[in-house]
Amino acid sequence: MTIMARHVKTLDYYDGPVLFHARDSKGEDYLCMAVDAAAGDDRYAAFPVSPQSLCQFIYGRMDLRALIGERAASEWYIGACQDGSLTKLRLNKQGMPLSETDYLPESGFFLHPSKLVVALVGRQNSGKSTTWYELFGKKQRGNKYAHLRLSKSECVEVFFVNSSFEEQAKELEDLLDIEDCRVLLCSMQYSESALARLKRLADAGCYLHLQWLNPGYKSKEKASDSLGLEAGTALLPSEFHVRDGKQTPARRAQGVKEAIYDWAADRCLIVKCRAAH
Amino acid sequence: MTSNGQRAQAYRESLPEDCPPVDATLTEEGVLFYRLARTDPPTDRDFDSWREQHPGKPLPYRISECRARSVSVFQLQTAIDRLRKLPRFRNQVVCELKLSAQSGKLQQTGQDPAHYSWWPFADFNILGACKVIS
Repeated sequence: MTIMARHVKTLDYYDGPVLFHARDSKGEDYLCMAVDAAAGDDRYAAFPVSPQSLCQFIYGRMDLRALIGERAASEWYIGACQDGSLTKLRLNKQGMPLSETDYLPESGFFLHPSKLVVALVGRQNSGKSTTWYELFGKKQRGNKYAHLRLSKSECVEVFFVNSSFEEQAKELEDLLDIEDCRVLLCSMQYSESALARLKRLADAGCYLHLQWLNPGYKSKEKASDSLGLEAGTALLPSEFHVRDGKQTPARRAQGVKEAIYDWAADRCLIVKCRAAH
Repeated sequence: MTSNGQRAQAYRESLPEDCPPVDATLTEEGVLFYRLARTDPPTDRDFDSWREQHPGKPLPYRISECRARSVSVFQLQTAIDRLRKLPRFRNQVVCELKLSAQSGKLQQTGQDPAHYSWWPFADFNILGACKVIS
């Protein structure tokens, strides 16, 4: 049996697409995994998957082996590109059980086990809490889960830490261990410990969206980056923005919202807002 | 020569115009990145781009010619260890690459924040900067 399918989205890339989502003309979803190359053409093992399971995999809740194990015992395919570009994939059904081939991945392969950390960095009274207030539209208590509204009907679950870690003698890593904490919002003092803390977070698989409030709301003037935070974080999976703490917090909050939206949309983390939000 | 009088650096592979992208950057001295190699010790072929491995083939969907001529590297070892769980990479070894401003240009690409596209300079001794660690 042969099925024609087309590439929908690349999920993992290493010198080319390594894992991608494909769909056939009937709307069936497949997870395709690069296995080898024949005569310069990459070949893919393709496994039918349910949209729900695929989402769980993208979300990071299900490993690859569990995802493909669902139906692959009875149905799996080898695919090759007809035109090389993945827009026309010819999938041929295989008779041999997958377990008798070399195409079964090891357990524990999760899709980029990353979490997003949004950190507002600044000295005391720089405008960090005001930015959070603007973002949530109300005063938000810290150290708790919250639904953050990203649009009229779209929300994302975040874990929010209001006071900075120096103020509450808590380590960010402790919070990252919380199950399902995929987006963490926190404040951070502009201090010597900040860079080391951010490096540890990157090592733990976090992507860092950083906003340095400089000048701060109560600062007389813009400060130089004497701690080398921008240069130091340039070597980490991160983006670093300098925002004016004296200006209206709406722009800062919007920047945070957009960063969260882009990240969460790629990982099936956006949910419909409940009426109360 | 560039407009500011500096000599333009040649790259290991011939690149299309406007490649690497303007926001690709040089890295600081001694920064570590990770890549897989088929053999220990690695060979030059282990650092071929997708385009070098697929001459004359149509590009993968939504991949630019510029990116197809880059080499994938990871900023975190955990990210590359993860890849070895896939059948295609099961028997490959992990190389630690010590990069510097003389190595080439880098840009974070793809959904994995630890994944970078690397366009090595022609005169950079890749194998000399590469150490197999596992």
